[in-house]
Amino acid sequence: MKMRACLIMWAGAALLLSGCWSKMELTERSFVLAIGIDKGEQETFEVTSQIYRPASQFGAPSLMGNKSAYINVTLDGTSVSSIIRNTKTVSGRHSQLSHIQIILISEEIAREKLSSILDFFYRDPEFRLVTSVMIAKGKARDYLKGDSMIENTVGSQVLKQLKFSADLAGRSVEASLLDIAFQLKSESASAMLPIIARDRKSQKNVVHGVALAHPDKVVGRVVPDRVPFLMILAGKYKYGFVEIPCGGQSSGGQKETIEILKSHSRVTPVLEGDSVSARIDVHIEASVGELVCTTVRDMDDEQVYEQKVEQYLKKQMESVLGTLQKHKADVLGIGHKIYLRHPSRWRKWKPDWPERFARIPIEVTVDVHIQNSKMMSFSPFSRSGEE
Amino acid sequence: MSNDPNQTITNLPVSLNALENINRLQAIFRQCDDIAYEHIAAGPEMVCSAWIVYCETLADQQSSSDILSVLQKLEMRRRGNGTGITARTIREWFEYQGVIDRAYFVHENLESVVRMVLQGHVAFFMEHWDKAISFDGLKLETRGVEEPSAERASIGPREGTVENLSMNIGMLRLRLQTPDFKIVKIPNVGPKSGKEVVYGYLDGVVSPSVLQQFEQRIVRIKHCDLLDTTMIEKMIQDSAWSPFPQCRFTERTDAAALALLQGKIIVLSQGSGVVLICPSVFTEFLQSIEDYYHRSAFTYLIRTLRMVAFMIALFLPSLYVALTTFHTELIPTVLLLAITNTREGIPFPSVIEVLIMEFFFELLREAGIRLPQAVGSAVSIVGALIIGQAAIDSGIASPMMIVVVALTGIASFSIPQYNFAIALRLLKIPFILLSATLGGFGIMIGILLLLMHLCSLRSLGQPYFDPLGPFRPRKFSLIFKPDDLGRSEQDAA
Repeated sequence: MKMRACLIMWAGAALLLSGCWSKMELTERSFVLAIGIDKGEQETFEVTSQIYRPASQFGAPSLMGNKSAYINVTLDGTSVSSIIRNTKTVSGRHSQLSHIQIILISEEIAREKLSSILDFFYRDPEFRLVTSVMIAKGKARDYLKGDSMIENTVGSQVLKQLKFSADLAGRSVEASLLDIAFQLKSESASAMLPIIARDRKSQKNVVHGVALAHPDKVVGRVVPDRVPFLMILAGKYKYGFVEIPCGGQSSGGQKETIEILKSHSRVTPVLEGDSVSARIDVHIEASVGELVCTTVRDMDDEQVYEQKVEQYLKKQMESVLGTLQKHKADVLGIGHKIYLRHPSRWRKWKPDWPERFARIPIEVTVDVHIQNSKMMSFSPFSRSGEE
Repeated sequence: MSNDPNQTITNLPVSLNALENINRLQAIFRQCDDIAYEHIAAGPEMVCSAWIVYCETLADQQSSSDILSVLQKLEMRRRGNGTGITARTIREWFEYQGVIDRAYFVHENLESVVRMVLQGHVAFFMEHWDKAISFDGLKLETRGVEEPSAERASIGPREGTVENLSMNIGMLRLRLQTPDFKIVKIPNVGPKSGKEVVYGYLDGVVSPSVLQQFEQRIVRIKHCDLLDTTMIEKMIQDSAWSPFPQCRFTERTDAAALALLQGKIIVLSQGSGVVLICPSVFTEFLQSIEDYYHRSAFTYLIRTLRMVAFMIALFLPSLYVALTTFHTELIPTVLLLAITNTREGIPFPSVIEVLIMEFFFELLREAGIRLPQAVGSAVSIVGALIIGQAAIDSGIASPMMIVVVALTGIASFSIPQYNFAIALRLLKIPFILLSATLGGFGIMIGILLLLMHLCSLRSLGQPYFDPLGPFRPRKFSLIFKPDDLGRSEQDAA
């Protein structure tokens, strides 16, 4: 009996006392939905936390009025963690970081060093590793201001924009904390991050473009119009329309589009003696999106059109590869592939790989298969059988 | 309530002197003004002095005159033989089990006479005879057979039990027309109530060990005054401390017949329409007789629904408390923001909030049960609409909490067995407290303790958590699928 009581006490103590306690009511927490990191004066950071302000349903409606759904707290300091801690002294509530939608890093600071900024986010248990990270042109905190278009808060608005831009338009790339860690820790040590910019004409925030990071800072970027080709090369393209210029003098800059349904790419490093080259095979399943200057009547026409598209895509991809090589950012992971297949060779090459990557010839083969033209007749206003 | 099984009212025999008998009865029935004593003189020349004793409130007034007509008939018959009727001939007639058109009982001691009178019999004493006879003259207005209001079904028989024991057994006999259907009577249960209790089972289907176990326990009821069959549960249950009921109740004759076919033992008692079914296991409480009448695809769905309802009724409030105070990171962002909006400005921690609202809900439920129907609906309107809305408006409770509590209540209503739903209501509170102190970890500890209890619980020696507790994959599908009754009988044979 004594034995049993003792056992129960031990088990109870082992079960109940070995954990940590985190009881906190919802009204004691404040939920941070977005974080913006800017460069402060000298060696300091400016961290902006966007905190959700719950709309209490009590009291007169007039008082609830035009308060925005969030507040931005900007504090400066020398380390990200201490600034986020200090946010409590402003908001008066515990800053809960688990629901952060997006982390914006200004381009200015990202061009200096990424790891010292992001370190805290990997260590803190409240952070999710799937939180998206973005590079902001200009001041990051400016993007957290103002009213969001549709979503409740700016943070979630930006996240939705990113998702749409990456998944359905192919003009951006999704990069979570985990993705970035994987890419920068790989042997290629290069990563792709999405960019948010403010459109001058409409004064709206647009998510497009990709920043190239290597090995620990942002080194360059790929302009939005070229991003689809980069995505296809990297095998991350999901869905979207690609513009194909008509070509020729008479067309006057008109463009047609194809809708890319599926794309697959394979990167193969080719080693010959001491020299290295790479081959990228791209296979694309597409359908006709919009035809302006081409007529596709039969299989032969289709083949001609396919070849035209292939040539154009190849040219674009080669120019994107040129940009990558210029910035020495091996985001396609060619170096990592060499490391996997020829580890001993890699050990020798690793120190000067960025320089070597900038020089290697990369051969691109594009295979486009047009699945359908989405119409029974070959043009909307044609009368079949007339000609 | 006395525990002396040998307690008797009197041990006097029936005396030869009729008047003495009457005096003794009057002493026993003193201050019982509804006992009638009638003196009659029967036979030729009125030589035969006799007394009729009966309870006016139980026996039909007609009964006493019935006796007289019986006597007259006897007289007539004797006259045909040419000899006049005497007291002796009447005595002999009854003692040698002569046939007349009414059933009668011959008594030798006053004890049984008293008991019979209290059951509505008309007792008849005759001068110079040390025996008494009685005729059944019970006439009480009883409820007719109708659909039990607590167990309505959309389809299936509408027959429910009544308060008359023999009628109930009769209805069951009609459903199970086999000599295997055994009915065992335990007469005169309880020193005061003197009820007749009956248990039945299907021979060959019921497990002998269960029956033996049951018969050992049912003896205990001899000493207890029963008002209703439900009280028998306390005598035969395995664990009095468990929140879970170990017996089921029904007022439907088809449900009782089904239980018999599944090898259960049923218990009925005089004056109660409740049929007790034992042994009962956990999963049976989530099943309803209607499941057998629907197509099996629908039964799958509806039983799954009840499982979910069980989970909701037990865990939803505690899950809500755990999620909002410990594990906010588990709530999707948009939902979380909605919840923070509703929680903002509530002065209580969510555990206090949930306890207050659960208390309100239980209060309303308790208030609504006993009120007359007209007032009852007013209570539910005041409770649900006005108090609920006012609680939100005044900032005592958040709308999300009202949703949680209401959903918990609705889920507990959808459990077919009322006594099982009570168990869930009881268990809900410790789970809320556990989740408020230890969060999801506390709920897990609670679930472990609950499973330990369920797995160790027995109902008449049968494992209570049956296809899950001792895990039996073959029987597992019976949780969702109705029993194939034809096959189960073959298995037994």
